[in-house]
Formats: sequence, structure tokens, C-alpha cells
Amino acid sequence: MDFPALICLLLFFTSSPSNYSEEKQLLSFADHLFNEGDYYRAITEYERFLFNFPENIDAPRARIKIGLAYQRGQKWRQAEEELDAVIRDYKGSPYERQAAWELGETYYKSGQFPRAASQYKIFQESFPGESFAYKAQMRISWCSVRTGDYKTARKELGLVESSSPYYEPAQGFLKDLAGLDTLNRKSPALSGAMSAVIPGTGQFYAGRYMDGMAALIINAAFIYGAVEAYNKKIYGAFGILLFFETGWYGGNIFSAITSAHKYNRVQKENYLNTLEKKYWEP
Amino acid sequence: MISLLVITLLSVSSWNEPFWGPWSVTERYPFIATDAETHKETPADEKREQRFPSLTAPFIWAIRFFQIFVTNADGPRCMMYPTCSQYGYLAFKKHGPIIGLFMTADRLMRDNISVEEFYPIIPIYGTFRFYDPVENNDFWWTSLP
Repeated sequence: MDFPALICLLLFFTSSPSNYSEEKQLLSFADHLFNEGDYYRAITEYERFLFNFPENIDAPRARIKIGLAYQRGQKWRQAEEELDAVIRDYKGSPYERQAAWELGETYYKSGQFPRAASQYKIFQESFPGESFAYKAQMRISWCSVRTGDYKTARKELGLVESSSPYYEPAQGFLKDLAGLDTLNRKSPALSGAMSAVIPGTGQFYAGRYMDGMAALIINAAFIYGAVEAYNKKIYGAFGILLFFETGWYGGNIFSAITSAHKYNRVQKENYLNTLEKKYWEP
Repeated sequence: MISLLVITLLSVSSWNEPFWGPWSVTERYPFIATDAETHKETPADEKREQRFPSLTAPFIWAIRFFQIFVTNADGPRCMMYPTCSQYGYLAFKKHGPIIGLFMTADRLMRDNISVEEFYPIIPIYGTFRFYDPVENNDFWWTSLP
């Protein structure tokens, strides 16, 4: 065997043939970017795939992934548009089901809870009996919880059938929701009243010590200044200081009330986050 | 020459388009854009009917005077976003003179060293600030628009 033929033979056997066709490679690179969390670039690669192979069997999957990349990248409007388009274009296919679910998830993640609830209900009606339809019932309950409508949430959780795989979690969730009534709360009225009597004390009560200190010092300084100006009959300065003090004093009460509300909001959010960790299934 | 003119005109027209560029929500990839535009006053805020507009106007003028002349002279010092003056402007526009005054005073007292504990930090104006919009403080006031 001559030398060039030997080289050719060697090259033939040593070169590893590609396992992937071009479209598979494109798609797998896009998936790689998606899995890495680089959603912006992933979208470009999915778009490249769709441009080159619009009729490919994986085209609907690529479109759903674009919608998901927008969703994970918190580009809610674009995610909604993309998933809506998939639902329209692939009616009756498994892709419609996946896009319909993800549309509900997009609404939920973007904080549009009433829209999310109605989308999950649409999902339940369109795909009854599926495991995700059961899961949708839990999501609907979560939507009510997130909007603060605990009564409806309890009702929705009560609708989880005993045959559902989510029956046990739903019962646990129902029991734990009662914990919201026993949370440590601060009274906004008491907080406001305390700051009305001694500026800053309401903020102390609500756990905002620096705010309370600032309110106490500023109000004390302006009241002292106004009293001194009045005693020394400098009525112009007295008027100006009184005007500013009105703002500080009112702001101090407003701050105390808001601080108590914020405290309660944080308590509630923390409790709900604990529940989410326990009962939320991604 | 004509092509240069066309390119220039096209690039000028694109300045007015909403921002759309590389973005990322993960730390691993470059954090190129948190869109400052999303934190700006929305058209809905602009259209909102003002409460007691004639009484609110002097406060708005005072804030605008402060923003245009004083801030330009002594530089930006507020740690929060919107800045205290802009927050006051939005509060007066949304709630009128009395609540606007109280909310502005409240904000000025809250702009202290405890901000790190209570407010999320956002990248804006080429730096980082503590995010505290008007909605974060009037959320419990449900009877007002």
C-alpha cells in the first residue's frame, strides 16, 4: 500500500463521524444556552433553527422554548405572545397542552394572578383527567392565596378530589393556611397613635429604629425651634417652622402607620414563602 | 454621501424606540441591562387626575425648582430610587397636597443608614440605589386611586 492511500485510510478511521445532523446540533446548542440560563442568546439560536428548518418536526418545541426563555428572562409580554401563538398554531397537539400550561405559569410568575387562575381553569377544561389538570387545581388555590383571598383559596383547596395525587398536600395546605391568622402582627392604629403622642415611637414599635430616631430628632428640633421663635416674638420664623413641622409631624404619623403595615406584609410574605417551599410543585 | 445620510437618519430614528438589547437575569452572564425605562413615570401616571391641582401646584413648582437648580448645583445625594424629590413629585401628583406632603416628609426621614435593611437594591444611573416607589408606601391606602 502506498503512503497517500495509507494516510487516507488512517484519516477515514480516525475521524469520528458526527452523530448529529445540522438541525440537531443547532437545537442542542440552543438547549445548552437555555439550560445555562443564557436566555437571550438561546432565543437567537432557537430563531436560527426555525429560520433554517421551519418545517422540522422540532419546530414547535423550539417555539415553546422561545416562550419559556422569555418567561425565565422575565420578558412577560413576549412570553405571552409566543405561547399564545403556539396554542393557536398547534391546536389539538401535545404542544398546545404544554404551551397552555406554560401560559398559566407565565401569568402566575408575572404576578397576574386572576389571569393565571382563569388560564389554569381553561387548562383543566381543555385537558381533563390529566395529571397537570390536578396540579392546575393547586395552582388556582395559590392564585387566590397570592391575591389575599384566603376564603376562595380554602374553597378551591376543598375541591381537590380524594382521587387526586394532590389530595394529601391540599389537606396539609388547608391546615397550614390557618396559621396566617396567628401571625405576629403590629397594629397600624396603635403605631400611628404612639407616634402622634411621641414622634418616632410608632416606628420603634414597628421595628424601624433608625426611622423612629430620625422622626424623633427632627420633630423635637422643629418644635423646639418654633416654640423659641414664638417666645422671642419672631413670628415670621415661627410661621415657617410651624409649616415645616406640620409636614414632619404628619409624615411621622404616616410613617408609623405605614411601617406597621409593612411589618405585617413582611410577616405574611415570609409565611407564604414557607408554605410555597412546602407545597409548591414546580 | 446619500447612504451616509440614510444611515444617520435611521440611527437617529432608532433612539426613540423602546430599549431592546442583550439582557440577562442570571449572575453568570453579564448583567447588561436593567431597563431604567421601566421605572419611569408611566403614561397612566401622567394622565391621572390630580387632587386639588391648584393647591398642589406650588409644591410641584418648589420640587421642580429644587431638581433643576439646587440638585444641579450640589449634585445628586439621595440613596434611593426614585430620588426623594422625584418621589415627592409623584406623591403630590398622586395624592394631592396633604398626603403628598406627609409622604414626602416620611420619605426624607426614611432616607437614612437603615435603607440597606429594608429596600431592594437596583442598578440605575450607572450606580446602585435602594428601590422605594410610591406604591411601596401607599399600598395599604386602598380607598385612594
